[in-house]
Amino acid sequence: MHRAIRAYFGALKAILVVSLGLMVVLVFGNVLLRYLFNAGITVADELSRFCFVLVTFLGAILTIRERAHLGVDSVVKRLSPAGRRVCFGVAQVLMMIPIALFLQGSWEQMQINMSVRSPVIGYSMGLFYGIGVVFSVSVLLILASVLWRFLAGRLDEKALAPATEASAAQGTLQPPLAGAGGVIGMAGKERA
Amino acid sequence: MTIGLFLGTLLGTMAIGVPIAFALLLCAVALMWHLDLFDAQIIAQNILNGADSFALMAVPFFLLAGEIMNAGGLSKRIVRIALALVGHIRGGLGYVTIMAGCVLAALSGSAVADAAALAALMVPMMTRAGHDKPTSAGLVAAASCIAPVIPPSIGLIVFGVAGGVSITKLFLAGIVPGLMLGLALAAAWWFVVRNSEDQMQTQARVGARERLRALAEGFWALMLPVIIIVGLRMGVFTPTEAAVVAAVYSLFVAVCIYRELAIKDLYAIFLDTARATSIVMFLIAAALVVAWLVNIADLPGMVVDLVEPFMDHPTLLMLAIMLLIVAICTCMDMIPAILILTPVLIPVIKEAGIDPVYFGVLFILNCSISLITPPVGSVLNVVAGSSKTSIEALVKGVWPFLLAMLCVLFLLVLFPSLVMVPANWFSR
Repeated sequence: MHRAIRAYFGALKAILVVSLGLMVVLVFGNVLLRYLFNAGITVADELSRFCFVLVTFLGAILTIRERAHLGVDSVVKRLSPAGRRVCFGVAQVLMMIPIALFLQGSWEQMQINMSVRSPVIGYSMGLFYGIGVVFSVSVLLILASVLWRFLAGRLDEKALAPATEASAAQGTLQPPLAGAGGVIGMAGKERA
Repeated sequence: MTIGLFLGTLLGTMAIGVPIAFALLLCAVALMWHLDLFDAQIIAQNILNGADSFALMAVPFFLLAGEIMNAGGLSKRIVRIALALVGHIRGGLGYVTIMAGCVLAALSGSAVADAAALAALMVPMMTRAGHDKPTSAGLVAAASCIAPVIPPSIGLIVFGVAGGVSITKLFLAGIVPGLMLGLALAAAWWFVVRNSEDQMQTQARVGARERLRALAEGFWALMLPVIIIVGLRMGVFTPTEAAVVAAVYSLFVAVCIYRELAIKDLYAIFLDTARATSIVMFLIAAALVVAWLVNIADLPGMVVDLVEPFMDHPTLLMLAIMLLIVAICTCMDMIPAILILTPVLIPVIKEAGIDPVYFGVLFILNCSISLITPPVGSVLNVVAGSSKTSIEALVKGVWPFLLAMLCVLFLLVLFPSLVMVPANWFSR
């Protein structure tokens, strides 16, 4: 199981790097071709935007796992440890609500758009909304895993504070499952 | 009621530690329920389409350029040029910091990235030369805050997309206010140095040959802002294309000319960029869902009614809005603040006859200043961590520069032509 999870996140990282590289090649290639040969890559705009959506949502799976999404900690850090724990538990449950709705909406849109083709490349637009399904399922699993470990009392106290831009820049993010023996909710840097 | 629900959900969820992107999505859910529009497909469509934007693609490209710049030795060479030019003056290292801050601002577009680079390079150098550490760190923090104003700027891109304002015009309008910030910091530093008791060592004056060598070494790094600004000014490329040109150019210089970056390092750089991109973009996508619902609920209309007394006095309205932004930005990071406030404020300023480009530059300048105000002040935290200075000491060190930056903001509110005349000239 652990190996499968690690392989999944490894694959996500590879897709992210390839997608970003492809975006650079397509957009820069288009600029170059336009000025050197007065030509362009027909699929560049559509494909680069698709890659961008991939980077955004598949990258977000990774960063949610690493708890790198920015929050405000000025209230939470003033609370007692018990208060912090309550807030953390409530926050985890609340985060699942919009993601569950996103999953439902993406699933419905994916089915509606299966036969709709994109204007230039002609790929199924169901694939576009499928990114939302992959994202939602992955994030729900991560959040559920974190919540389960939190309820089981296997969560490091330091992990209860949200990330801020400063902590992200300094690399002092505390993954929620560090030292908890779990992989799903654990930062890639710690294990992978 | 709608405004109360919007603010209550947003601030309440953020207060208990829900990440801002999720707080925005919860806010969207609450608004959908309140407006009787409860449909999961609204969230799915808006959030995915929010990320499907060619204009926003500039964000990962500028982030990539910044990563390559720091890893590939471009930042280091910029500092060397500044040292060669002004290092010998009394308090010269301070002017070096400001100069490097301005040039790095024209390369990366991220205050936090600039703060990390400048703090690592300049604070040890300044303390060794006998400068007071908190003041040195304070200057580094303030100089880093020029980055979101001078193009290319991620803040201006996000504002442009959220407010439907031309990013190219915003970029060109940001040049003069950014340089004014630099001059204001130089004036504040001159004042600090003049009244300082510290025994400062000045750098030895370097000869013309050394200066030329530093300029020749840093020439390739200095060409980047020139390429971007000239390209945008001449309409050679869009901001997104300018961003990708910046990334590829930085890569070429770092790998082929400076040879400080190996091809094998690229995987890690691209992965870090993708991570940073997803954090910013997920936040933007979530905010665009809220922005759509905010317009459906006619929240801007309600705000226009609230500020009706100010409508005939644009300067007064701008002052009031700037105070509101200062208050909000002290407890919220820059990008979320832009995303939450822009959809609400843009209709207000248009109604009052204020130019959205002018407003955008002042908005971002204001947000930049808040990066060095406690409690959130992300640049403050980065510099404190990097220079091993306590936040309390750093706040004392930063206040003269904070004051100088607020003076620039106040000047620009009183005299809009300081922004618009150069902006119109650049855009001609």
